[in-house]
Amino acid sequence: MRNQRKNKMIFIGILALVVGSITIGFAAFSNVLTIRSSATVNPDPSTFNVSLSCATDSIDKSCEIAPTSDNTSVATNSSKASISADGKTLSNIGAAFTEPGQSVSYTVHAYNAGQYTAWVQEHGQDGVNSTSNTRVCTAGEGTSQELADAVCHDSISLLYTIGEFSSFGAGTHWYSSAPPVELKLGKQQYHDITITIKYKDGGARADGPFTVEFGDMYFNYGTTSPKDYTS
Amino acid sequence: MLNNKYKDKRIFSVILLIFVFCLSIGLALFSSSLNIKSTTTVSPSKDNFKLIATCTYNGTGDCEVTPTSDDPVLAENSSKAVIENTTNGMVIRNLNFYLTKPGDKIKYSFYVRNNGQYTAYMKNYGVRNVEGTQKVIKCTPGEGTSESMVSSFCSGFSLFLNFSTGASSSSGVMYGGAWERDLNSSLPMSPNSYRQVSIELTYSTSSSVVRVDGPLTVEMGEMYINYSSVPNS
Repeated sequence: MRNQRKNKMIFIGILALVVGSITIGFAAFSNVLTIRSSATVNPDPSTFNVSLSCATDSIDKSCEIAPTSDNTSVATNSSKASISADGKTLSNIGAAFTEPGQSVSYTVHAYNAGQYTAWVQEHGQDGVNSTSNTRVCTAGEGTSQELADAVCHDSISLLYTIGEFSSFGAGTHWYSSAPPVELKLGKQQYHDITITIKYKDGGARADGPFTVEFGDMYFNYGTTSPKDYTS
Repeated sequence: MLNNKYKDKRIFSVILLIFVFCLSIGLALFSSSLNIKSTTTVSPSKDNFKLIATCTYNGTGDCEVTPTSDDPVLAENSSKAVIENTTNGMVIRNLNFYLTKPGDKIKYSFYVRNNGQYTAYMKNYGVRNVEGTQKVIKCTPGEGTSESMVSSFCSGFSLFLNFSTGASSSSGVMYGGAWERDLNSSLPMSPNSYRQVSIELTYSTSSSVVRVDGPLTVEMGEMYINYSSVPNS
């Protein structure tokens, strides 16, 4: 009888616990907060800003770039170059040679005023006056156009450097190419771009003055390296 | 003979008394179990656990949340979020963070109010994968930028969640697969109280995070916060 009663009490106790647990379990209500989101990243293009410049600590496109030469007369008579409004092109490059061995040089800077490291993507030369010819020779008084053209093509060369990289111009027709070496330009930094026109020493002579006009030279920069230069 | 009869009667009476007494105890025990049963019938109503998301601390429910930023252009271009309180829970949708450069910040703030009769506890929170992927974030480059640059940028993408006006906060890094974190403090909310929840996205200024050079879109997996009427054990 006592055992039965004890068992009954234990049973009732367990029952009470179970019911109590169910009650607590029942009371564990829940709710959820769901957040659905997305993002749009839209960089301001003006934060990438590389331009040809006359200055080494800012962008100054308003200047005229006078050529330098060992021969004062050649320097004075040769044209002054200018930077295009978009800062990518150097125009009005030309030399007034009188004899072989002479040269003129234009030095301009590329300045990175933006927020990105920049790389030269491509450089090239346009044809003169929308033609495919990257150089045009014009005979002066006392010489023929035929002779001027011959000298122009055989004895006049164009050499340019971008930073540490040097290259000859590709010839008489417009061209565009990626640099064979990595040309990197950090933020707030500049590198020099020098263009030298040379009348070959010992080159063919014309029997009178002539002028050589060159197509615009352009330099495009981008935010990534145009190719993997490490391999 | 009479004496024996009287004796039997007395024994019978005593046995009867004992029986009645036992029956009373039994009934008393049984009625006690009935009492316990009666407490279970007081089953709490789910309606008494009621949380709502709203735009102001004393708001009443569904509304639109205007994002804030130090740069008004960013706030203007970021979409207004929509708060909906449904039978399946609270939903904040249409958050679209608009960023342009490192250092940009956009914040959406809203409130969760406890309009029920129980204390509510924040148990955990997490991020689900973007639908159809195994990642919590999916970046798609727009015109003018590359997959590799966008991928590098997105690896440093992070959101900052703040669950209250106090110091309890946590950041949520948005890369890799879905995750869930327990909230050890459980951040209790007593009835008629509220807690501000803000979500801030920052375009990292860290040099290790690539500055992307073109537009991109970022899809994010659903974030969720689970509330319960019992604290974490």
